[in-house]
Amino acid sequence: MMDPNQHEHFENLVLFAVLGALGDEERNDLDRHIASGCKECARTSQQFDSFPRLMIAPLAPTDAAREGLKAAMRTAPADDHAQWDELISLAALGALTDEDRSRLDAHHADDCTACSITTHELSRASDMIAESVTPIAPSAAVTNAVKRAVRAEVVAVPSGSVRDDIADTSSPSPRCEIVGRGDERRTLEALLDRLRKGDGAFVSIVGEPGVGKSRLVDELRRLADERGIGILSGHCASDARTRGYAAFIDLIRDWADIDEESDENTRRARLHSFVTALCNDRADEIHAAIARLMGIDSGQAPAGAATATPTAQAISGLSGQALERKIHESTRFLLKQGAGAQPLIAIFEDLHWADDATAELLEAIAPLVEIQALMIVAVSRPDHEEAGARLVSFADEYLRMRHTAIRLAPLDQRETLVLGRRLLQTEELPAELSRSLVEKSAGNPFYVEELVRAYVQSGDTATVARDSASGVDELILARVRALDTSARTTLETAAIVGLRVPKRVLADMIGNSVVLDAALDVLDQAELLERQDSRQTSSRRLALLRKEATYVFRHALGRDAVLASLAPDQRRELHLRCARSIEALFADRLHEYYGVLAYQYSGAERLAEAQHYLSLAGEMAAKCAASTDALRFFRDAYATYKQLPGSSADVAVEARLERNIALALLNTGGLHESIEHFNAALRLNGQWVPQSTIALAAKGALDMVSILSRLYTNRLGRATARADVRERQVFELLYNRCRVQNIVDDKRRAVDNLAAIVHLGHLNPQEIENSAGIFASAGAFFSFAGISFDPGHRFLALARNAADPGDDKDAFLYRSMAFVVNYLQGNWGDEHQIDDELLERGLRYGLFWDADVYLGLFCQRNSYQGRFALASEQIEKLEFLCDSYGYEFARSNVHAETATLLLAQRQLGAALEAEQRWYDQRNEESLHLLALGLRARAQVLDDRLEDAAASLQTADDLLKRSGARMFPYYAGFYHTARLALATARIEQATDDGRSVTSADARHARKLVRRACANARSCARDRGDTLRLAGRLEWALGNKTAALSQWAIAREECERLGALPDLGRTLADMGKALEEADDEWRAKAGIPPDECRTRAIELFKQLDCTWDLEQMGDDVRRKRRVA
Amino acid sequence: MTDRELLERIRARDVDAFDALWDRHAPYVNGVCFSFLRSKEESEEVLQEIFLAIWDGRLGYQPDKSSLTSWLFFIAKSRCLDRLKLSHRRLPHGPIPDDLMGRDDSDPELEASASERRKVLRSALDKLPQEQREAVMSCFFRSPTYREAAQELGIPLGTLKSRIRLAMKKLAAALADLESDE
Repeated sequence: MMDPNQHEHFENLVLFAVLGALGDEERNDLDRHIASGCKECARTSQQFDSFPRLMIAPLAPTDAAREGLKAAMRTAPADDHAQWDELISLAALGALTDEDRSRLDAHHADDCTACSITTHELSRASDMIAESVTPIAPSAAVTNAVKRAVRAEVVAVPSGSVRDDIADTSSPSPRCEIVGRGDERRTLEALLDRLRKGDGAFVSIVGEPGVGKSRLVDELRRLADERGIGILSGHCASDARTRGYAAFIDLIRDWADIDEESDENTRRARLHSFVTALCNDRADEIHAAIARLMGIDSGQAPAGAATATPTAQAISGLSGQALERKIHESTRFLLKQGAGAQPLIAIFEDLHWADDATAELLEAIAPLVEIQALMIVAVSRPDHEEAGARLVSFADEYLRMRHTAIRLAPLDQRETLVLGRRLLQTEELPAELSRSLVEKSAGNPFYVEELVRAYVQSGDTATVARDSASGVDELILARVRALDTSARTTLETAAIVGLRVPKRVLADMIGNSVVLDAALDVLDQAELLERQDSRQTSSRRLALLRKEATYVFRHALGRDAVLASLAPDQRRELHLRCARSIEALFADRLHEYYGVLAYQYSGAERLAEAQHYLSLAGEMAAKCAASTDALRFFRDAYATYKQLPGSSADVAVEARLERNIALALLNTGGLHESIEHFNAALRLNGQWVPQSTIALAAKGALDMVSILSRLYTNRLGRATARADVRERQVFELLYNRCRVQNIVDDKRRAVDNLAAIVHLGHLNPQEIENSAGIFASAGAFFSFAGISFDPGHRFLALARNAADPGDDKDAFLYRSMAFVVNYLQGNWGDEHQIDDELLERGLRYGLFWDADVYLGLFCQRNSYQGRFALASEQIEKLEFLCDSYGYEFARSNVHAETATLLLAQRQLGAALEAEQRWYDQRNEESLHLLALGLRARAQVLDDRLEDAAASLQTADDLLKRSGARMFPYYAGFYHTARLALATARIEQATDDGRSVTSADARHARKLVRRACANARSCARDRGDTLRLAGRLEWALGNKTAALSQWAIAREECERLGALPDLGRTLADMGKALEEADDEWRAKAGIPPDECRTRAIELFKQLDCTWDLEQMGDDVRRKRRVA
Repeated sequence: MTDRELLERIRARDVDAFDALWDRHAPYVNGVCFSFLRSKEESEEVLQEIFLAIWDGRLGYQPDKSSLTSWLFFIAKSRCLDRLKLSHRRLPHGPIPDDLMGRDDSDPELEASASERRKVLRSALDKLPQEQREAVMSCFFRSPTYREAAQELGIPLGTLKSRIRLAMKKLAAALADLESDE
């Protein structure tokens, strides 16, 4: 085809080849020429004229040409830069191996890189895009902060590295890389790899002090950082119990990068933008709850949000358990969103010191690990039942499949010696020191480090042996004693402040910043105290550097040792100085330090101040729904108050403490116990709290007369005098005691409600919070108690007047209690129904009891109207109330309304099962009477008359035992069941041809009167009662009375819309009239066939199969008789 | 001192080298971050993260793979996209945003040259076929990885790479024309 030496033709030929103009045979031919040409190039490498031909090499169909280039590189003289430049430019066009490229790299300029032509093209275009961005100079503050962060790290000892000055015996020993823990690290690595794939985990790391928990956690952070996993940290300091949710506040502050030194508005704005970024549509609501958790909720809309949304406003009205649930749910949602965007680790350190709210919230969020790429790491010492051990048990019980327990054991002998050698950077340890390390440290790495430090400091093993004789504390103290006075004083002062010590508090207490700086340097060198930022990831370090300098004890054991060495007088004096410094330095946000101040004043034995701050800390905890912590603070405050000398006793203070404890108990579910404290607070406020039954009845009667007289003379709710603080406090106590009594004490409920109304009667209701609620409750009470519906409606009118029109809480209280009154009275129209939106707002305000009552009665109404599906919906809402808000009382209502619905549907077996669950769950006599009545009613229907009699006997015993008059609502089923049993027995007797004695008849009619009287106050039972009354009269032969009762029953059932009872009345009438002669049929005004037809239609419409079967059985029985 | 030398010194914990690297490249990285995040505060946060990660040796720059500027661009882009993803924000589809291509508020002389290059780049991008243009936009401005860009566009990874390659060739040619004109 051509002469192999005619290289000048090659370029054109190769271009043809690239263009695809050549066939396979021609291409192979071309290959051979290229290879031959390359060899020539290599041979004549001095003749650079031939080199340009190699430019085509990379475009050649095979690698042969590139070989020529490589050959040229091999022969090029190392110092001939011109040649190498040429080669480099050629190489830019060819795909070289790494080895070839590195050879070129040795010659090319620093800003040149050998790469393929494609890479070159891509790189140029990428660079073009990259370079086209206009630089923007960062702010000076950021520049300074970053440069400071870097310099600070160089000044401090880099974590994980060994200091150069180790050989200097005047320096303490360093930290070194983690020793041992291979299994633990492998476990964590496997968990992290699974986390990246989306599998969450709960890891508990438990170990004795100094065994290396923090070091392992540092290792975990490093491993996670390498894998691009987000790291969140929450820390519980030894004084963490001075504030609720301490670890979560720390974690969220870190996560959202909130500077705790900034003002509240700035912090809230920062939190809001952080939450908005994660939570989108729910941002305002979640922000409101999290701000409350963090104690930065002032009730205003955050900057960035124009106004607080209704949801956020509603949260601001929450308290107690409702708020607690909301905070739990919001935190869960926040973490869910975070873990949805990026796998996350949330590390909670030193949980043995956790406050109750932290422990409870941690339990609430823990189940997230089952569905999210979230790893929760709980680090604690063993044997702290209330926090650390509690969480491990929780994870074992509820998260068994996701729980990995790491229990850190002491190092073994070999590891101990390895650690010692690494710390000393030596291959061989002195024999005496080795022995000391093994014998004294018992494998505790912290102890090992202290022993090595002691050795480095003293330089002889005898001193080490002497100092370590009394344990690690003595080793630490030996080092402390060797410090100069100012450093020692600083360390002792810091120990009083806490594990974390803001520098400005120290400065205020020490009073000389020059001395302080020098002392802190000494303590840093001695590795007793260190800047908080020195052991963090870079971004965290930076964040901390921008904030106030804080020093932390290198290890809690160090602080403990120093604290224990202080004389009592010295401690007291330092605690007092610390408290005063905090008061002076943080005056603008003292609420964040209430717990700390209480701790400091307690340490200073200043009881009055300690009690004052304990109370404030409790109120703060209650405000952010840390109810258990609030209770602890209040109880401590009360105990401190009791230690005060008699002259300092203050009834008002004691009353407030009793009130706070009572409310905290109410919020934590300690209902019975809370009554004692409510009563104590009322007594201290000058209120009479009757104890004996007689006194109780007398007070109830007096209050009743007082109320009714004022109500009917239009004097109630019209007071205009301003209520003083004490009167408001008394009303608050009465109101909240009523809330508790509604659940726990049937006997006192009525009396306490009356007492609250009497007190309210003297006050201007417009000025009193919850006045609308108490009036509405009074309306419900008068109706519920069966006294009369008229006062009920009058109270409702007062409630309507007292209600704030824009207040959802007032609106819900009024509407729910109005529903109660109307339901009991028999006004069953849909206009009394509460829409779901208002119901939801009521729940957000924590009106669980009211919502529970409303949902239960609304469910009943639907069951009795034959709207069974709607009734089931209400049961689901009750379940939601229980599951979402933790309102356990709703659980029993679920069983109660399920039983009622099933009874209405005549699913008797299932109804009895539900009733049994209900009965077993409650202890209240009123609820037991209700349940026993329902049981007996179902048993009569199921033709189990003896069982029904036994159930009613149990109810009779209960009534005798109780001695109290039961409200019509609770007694309703009992009365109808008794009537049903008597009717069934009389019908049985007449069917059997036995005569009915006049005594039996009299007794039965007495039952009718009682049942009817009861049904007048409780519309639920009217249809059934009147129908049974008709059947009884028919069986007794008083057919006129029977027809009259049935007529009333039909009319009332139609008015109420009680279709099942209407159908049953018609069915009973039809059955009776079929056997009657024409005269009675005429008097009935409706033919039996029509009764039957209409009943069947209704039963089919309502899907009442039991009733249909009963009617069929009646027909079959009749045919058999015929 | 070259970038490479600075990085070598930073590896040896030379604080002055870090300062020099910051002074030299922080404005550029900040500009990249601002282009994506449109927030001064957030841009500076990412800027700090990147430089402290460089200081900690956690980013592993390989000089033989790309220029420092290009590498910084992709690191910054990746972090900004992570942040956007975390907050469920996205850069919009459609034309390349103006501020992503820089603003006219720096040195007038340099800006004139940069402005011309941006104009050329913009024109070249506009001339690309729709699917190639989308591929470039997704890879450079929306997705941290090719794989995610392919997922976003609903095309196989190989197809995406070939579209990018074709597009880049055209963009490189446009740049070459500009350079030859200069």
